[in-house]
Amino acid sequence: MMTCEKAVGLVSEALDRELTPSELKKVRWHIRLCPACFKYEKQIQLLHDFCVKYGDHICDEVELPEEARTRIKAALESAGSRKE
Amino acid sequence: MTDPAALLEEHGDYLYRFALSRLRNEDVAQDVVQETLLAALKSRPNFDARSSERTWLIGIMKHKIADHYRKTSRETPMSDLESPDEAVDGRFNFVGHWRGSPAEWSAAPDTLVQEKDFHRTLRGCLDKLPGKLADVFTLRDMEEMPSEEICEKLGITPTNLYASLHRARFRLRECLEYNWFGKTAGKGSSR
Repeated sequence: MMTCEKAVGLVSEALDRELTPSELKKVRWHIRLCPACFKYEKQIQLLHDFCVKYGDHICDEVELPEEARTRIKAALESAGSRKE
Repeated sequence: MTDPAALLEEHGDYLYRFALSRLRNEDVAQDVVQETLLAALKSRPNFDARSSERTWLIGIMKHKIADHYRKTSRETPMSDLESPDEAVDGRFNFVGHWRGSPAEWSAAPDTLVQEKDFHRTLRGCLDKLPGKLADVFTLRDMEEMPSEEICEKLGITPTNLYASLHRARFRLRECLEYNWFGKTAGKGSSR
């Protein structure tokens, strides 16, 4: 039987490429029989789903600091006046 | 035409949050916001009024972020992948079985997104990853960039990419288990 170490590697790879029929069969069989890898797969899937759906929002409470805002504003104004 | 100050006022926070979620470094994210707005001012005549201003700016920003990844990728080759990863290997015994099973926890993404502390914890866990691992994870699991495109952009092989993503996800899962799910019984964890 496939080892847990190999199975968790394939659990991740399945998110990035199509597994071969043989890999898929072996990893599904392993996960059916192994509660630890079963949990692992569910949790990796949750992490993946969360990041795909909400990854853009993990910094939502952050604001552009005032000094950076001032600096950027000055750079934009300077570029604008050069253009004119 | 919107003036530069108004563009910054209206979209500055949004652009900064997006950049920070991808780049994880405040200084770099601020630079990218500035570069994006400067590029936007230059290409203003090409702005297609059918798309929203924000979508247009994010489009420009994604190019700037990709440039940054490409640049840092050239500066720091992916050599750390050739060595074994203790954080992963150490969790398995000599016959490849778990030394200790992952804990029992689960949650729904739609519930987790309400938890601001979870966002902070995830950011903290991403910060703890070696830079390259965090980059590939961000590109693949947040940006949903196809594997082939990541390999091309970062100049790595598919085998390297799959191994890095596995390491990144493995470490993130552990970090979240330790710092969030293990501490939040009743909030989505049953541990």
